[in-house]
Amino acid sequence: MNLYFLVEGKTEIEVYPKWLNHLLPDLSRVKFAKYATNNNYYLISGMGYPRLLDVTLIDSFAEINELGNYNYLILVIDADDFNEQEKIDEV
Amino acid sequence: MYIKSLMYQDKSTNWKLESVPFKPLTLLVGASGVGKTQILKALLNLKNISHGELFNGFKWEIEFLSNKGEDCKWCGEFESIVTSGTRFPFEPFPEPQWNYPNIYFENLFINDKHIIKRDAKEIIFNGQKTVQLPQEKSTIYLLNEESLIKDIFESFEKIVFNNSFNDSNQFPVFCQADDIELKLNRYDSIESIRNSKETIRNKFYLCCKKNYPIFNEIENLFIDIFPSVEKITVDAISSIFNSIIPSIAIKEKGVLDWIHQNQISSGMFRSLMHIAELYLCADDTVILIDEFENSLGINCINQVTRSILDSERNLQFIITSHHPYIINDVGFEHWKIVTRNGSVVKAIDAEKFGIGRSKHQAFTQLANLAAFSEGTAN
Repeated sequence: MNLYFLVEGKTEIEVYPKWLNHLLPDLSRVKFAKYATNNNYYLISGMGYPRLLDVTLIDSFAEINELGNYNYLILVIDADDFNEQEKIDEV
Repeated sequence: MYIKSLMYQDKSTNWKLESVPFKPLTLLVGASGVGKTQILKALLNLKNISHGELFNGFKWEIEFLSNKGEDCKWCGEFESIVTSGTRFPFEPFPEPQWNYPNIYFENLFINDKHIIKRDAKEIIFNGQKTVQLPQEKSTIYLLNEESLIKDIFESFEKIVFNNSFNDSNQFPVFCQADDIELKLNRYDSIESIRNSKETIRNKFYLCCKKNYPIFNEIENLFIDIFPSVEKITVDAISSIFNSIIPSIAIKEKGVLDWIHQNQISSGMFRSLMHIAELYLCADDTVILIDEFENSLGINCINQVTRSILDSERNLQFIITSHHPYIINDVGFEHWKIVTRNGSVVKAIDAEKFGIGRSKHQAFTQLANLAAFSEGTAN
């Protein structure tokens, strides 16, 4: 199983690899998305810059569709001023 | 001039830049404080050394093509004198100073021929020992009347550092009122204006005054970026000291009065000066721009960047920027990612970090690099 994480900011880049190490110890991180083969994850961040949903997410779709080696895309974003459902609707 | 590569070291502060190869357009990117601006300043300092200035503890090696297309390598080192008090890296040595740092060694190769060989005792120029010359001045400066060296000396004059032209409140003097006709007659072609040592504002004034079509080309490109503008002019103001000062004014659609230079927005003014520079600087100019985005508005940042990318003139640009739009617009093949480990600065091609191996925008890939966000790399 391969996972593709798109996160919003800088903190997640620090926290998620450590958290995944405990939660899914069999999963190892790859430096570039195309290196994922079996039980790998790739993590990329918007690094706090705007246009996460209208540019970076769409680029993630393009990358995943081109590579065809990912089972799940996990998008990690703050709801900010919206409630959870409103944010899901926006996505 | 075309700068092929640069290595420098400031032994008085232990700053070191490992050799960086440059391209016709090089965009230096990296975290704040890694040394992007210092790279530009080092190039500017080399220009100053070639013009006789001295820099304590400065060691350099630069490879370049001269104005005449000669393949050159110039290297040297000033001794490092311990000074009291705090000094910034690459600060010119203070004057007056009775204990100047001397040049330890200096070498100049033109087309692989060893033209200047200098050590602490003597200077060998083209195989001949020279008379004793000041040890604290570069040989490029001391021998600049020699035909072999004149080309090198003049090549360094082509390095310009353009961070001062964003101030619309500055009014540099063109000439004394009595000399205006004489000065206007001196320039009889666009080439004579381009190759002159006039400031860009004065060159722009000359083109306006002489009705050269290039003035309209600059005006049209500026109007493309700012469609609210319909006309530009450059007037000559007489100051109380009887000097002539060019002042730019723009006319906007639907606005009755001309907007004078000190009322033009800083983004508009800087955009205009960038464009004027592209059209009016001399051929073979090396343009250094620090923090390119400074005072450029979001409405003009892409187009001004585009005007640099599309420039068909024989120019070289070395630019620093933090701005995602600029970094994205300038393809990653032009980037050098600047990192610093302790006092050692490196500028490395983006491809070496794997930029370009993803569908994500190049800036997103860059922002995810620790080398970019933290400023260090192994």
